[in-house]
Amino acid sequence: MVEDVLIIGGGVAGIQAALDLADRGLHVYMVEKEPSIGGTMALLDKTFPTNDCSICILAPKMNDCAQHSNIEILDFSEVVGLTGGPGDFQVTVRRKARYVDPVKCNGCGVCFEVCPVHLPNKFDQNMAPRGAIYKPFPQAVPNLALIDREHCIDCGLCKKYCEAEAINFEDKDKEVILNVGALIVATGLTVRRPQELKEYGYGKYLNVYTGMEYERLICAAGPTHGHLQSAPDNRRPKKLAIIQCVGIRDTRMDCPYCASVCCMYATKSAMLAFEHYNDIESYIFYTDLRAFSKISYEYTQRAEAEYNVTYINAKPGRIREHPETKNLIISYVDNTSPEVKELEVEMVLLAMAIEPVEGTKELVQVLGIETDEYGFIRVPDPNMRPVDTSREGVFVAGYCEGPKDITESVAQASGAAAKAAEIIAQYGVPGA
Amino acid sequence: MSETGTHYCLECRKCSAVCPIENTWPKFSPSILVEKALLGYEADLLTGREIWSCLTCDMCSKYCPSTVFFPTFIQKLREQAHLKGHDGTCAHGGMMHAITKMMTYAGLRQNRVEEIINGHASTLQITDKGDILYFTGCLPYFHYMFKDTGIETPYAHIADQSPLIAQSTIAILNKAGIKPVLMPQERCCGHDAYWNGDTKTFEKLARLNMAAIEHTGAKKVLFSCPEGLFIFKAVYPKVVGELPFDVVHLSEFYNKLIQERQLVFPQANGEVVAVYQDPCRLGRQLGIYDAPREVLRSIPGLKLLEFKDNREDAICCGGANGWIGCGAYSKRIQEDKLYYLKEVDANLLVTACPKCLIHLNCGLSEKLPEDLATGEVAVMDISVLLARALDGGGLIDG
Repeated sequence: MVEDVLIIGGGVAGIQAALDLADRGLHVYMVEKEPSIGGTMALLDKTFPTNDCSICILAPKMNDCAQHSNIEILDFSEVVGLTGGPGDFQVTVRRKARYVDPVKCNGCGVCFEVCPVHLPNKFDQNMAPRGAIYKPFPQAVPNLALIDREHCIDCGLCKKYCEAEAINFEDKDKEVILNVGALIVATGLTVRRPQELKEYGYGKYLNVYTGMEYERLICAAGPTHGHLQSAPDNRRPKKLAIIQCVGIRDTRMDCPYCASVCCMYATKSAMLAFEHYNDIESYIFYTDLRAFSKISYEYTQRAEAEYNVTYINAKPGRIREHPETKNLIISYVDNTSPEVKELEVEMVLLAMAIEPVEGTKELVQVLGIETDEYGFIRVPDPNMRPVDTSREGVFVAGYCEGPKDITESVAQASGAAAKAAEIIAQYGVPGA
Repeated sequence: MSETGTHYCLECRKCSAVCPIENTWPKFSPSILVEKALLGYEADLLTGREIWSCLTCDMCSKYCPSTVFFPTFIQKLREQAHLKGHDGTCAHGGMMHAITKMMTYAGLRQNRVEEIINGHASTLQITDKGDILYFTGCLPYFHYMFKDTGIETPYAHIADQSPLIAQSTIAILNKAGIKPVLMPQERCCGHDAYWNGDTKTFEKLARLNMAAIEHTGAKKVLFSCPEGLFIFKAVYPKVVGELPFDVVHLSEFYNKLIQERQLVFPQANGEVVAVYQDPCRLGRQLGIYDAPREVLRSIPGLKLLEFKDNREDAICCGGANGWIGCGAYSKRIQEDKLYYLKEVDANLLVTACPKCLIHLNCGLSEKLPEDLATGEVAVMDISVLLARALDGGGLIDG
């Protein structure tokens, strides 16, 4: 009897589904494209609406996955083939070479220190360096180094200093075939880079950041150790503006839907700024304030009353940079009068479009499932079968199905786990 | 409303924040106009002044996250207003509107070719049948309007500038061995009639022009004026169906001739620092940004600078409104443009639109506040400049 479920994606949705299934005695393969599980939640500083530390909630669950006898993590791997049907799928997984022996490496980190190569660290939104041998972030699961061979200069220093003798330059990609009864797709999201939208000056103006970059800046473990700094003199900003719906709810960018999390994370970002510096003023430029779930509205009201947050109902037209101070001058028309107003701030955050993660298009081809026009995985009957994809035995959870927050992703993941378990029970023949 | 996408308005007021008029005159607000229309106050809009104030420069649509076609929305409102007997006021005593109307008479006789060739018959080669047609548009008539203004510009009286554009164009084409067709019975292109909501006049003009062009056998029609090009390319097909000929802006055509080395420059004669004004119709509405810049960059001795806001973000000269209401806000926009001009420190402002040329020259000729005086700045059409460059004389006088 096949009692295995394959989960694609090791973010919070994949982790929840894996733990649910493993705890009820089924065996789970968790395939993660990146070198560590954790997904987007791992790089957030805090989570709304409780302002709890994100990695503090997630890291124990990541470790539970790693240590659970029923869960096998296939890190740095991708699904490249799928045949069969419910109860009996054959999945081909490509395990990319890490060039580090997973049995010998203990994640001590000596190699990171001796590596002479400096590359932008994706986890820190390219604002901090990493070596050619690295670990994506301190709480990485599995706790293993890997070598970015494309940028490695073959100096051999890591090999020389590795006491565990874990470095293996001869490592190669491998393919494994797994037999599973059901699959859960939980591949998550990516935040679109805002360069295409010239009007807000991202990439051109020094003090314009994305919301995701801010998560790392305000995080004590981030590149600035949680200190907010404005160019050119690293002064501490006194005024912060957050612009909602950037490149999203925008037909020009083929992205007319609402990302559903930005109104809340913008509020959270402003609250965190205030918690760090209690004289900072934040201005949130919103299109519609969509604080709809339980205690969300109260959260925004609290931000206004206690955290110096002002909500402005306007999408700014342009932002200009002051040539000397590098302050940002935002021009907008709010809902109180038709005058064009200006607001000068030291830092601007853009709440960017959120899309299905890169590679979703290729993955759905492999899996033979459908997506909607924006690339989210299609659920043919969203009312009555909200986790069923267009292929029987393949379920979906989290942002890859459509915009949702962590709470909803986790709930959907538990739903998908239950449905996957049902498939195993239905098709599994004892003794077969 | 469904045609112009106004139903999708998010009421984010981004359009208002970038509108060149609202930035100088808050009584005009594209977002409020859309809101009024959505709330059913269309009747108020039709009798009010606001709809006639829009420059139709398209800045708002470029920034609109819901792709509301605001200029088309305005055009449709004007069309309805016109039918109800409400019209905008022509800033030039109704002259342009009268000329447009006159042009619809089938038996009209014009001296338009003579107005251009006048005195240059021996040097300018034109024909009446052939592949390449030069649509001269308003150029033969502008000088009547501006004769009495007494505006002197650094290289030509303002009244002489419009025929000069046409003469320069023909001279350039001749240099490349092309004898363009000029139509004695060419009509007004109808651009202004269309934007003034006078659809009946526009449609008559479109049909007359199509018949006249067909008669010449032209396969390619060249335009000095982006408005003419825009109306042929974007609006004529709705009235007359697909055009049986190509329509091309002269800057694109020149660029091709220069690249094919059919136009060759003599050595540089002096140096000039120029900045290019993107006309709204040519840039935002037709997407032609590079051809005029490439032409300018190929001119020896010319250094090309850019305005702070250029290409898609270029701010309208203030005149792109079918000659309706050159009011206080138009003046303010004009003044702002001169401030920007001062900022870039150029001594030549090049346009690819005869209307920008007139509007900006008019602004320069006025008594300007001390901090705005730009010194000796010439505003010149790209054809005039190119003709001068090819002749090897100085690019600007003095």
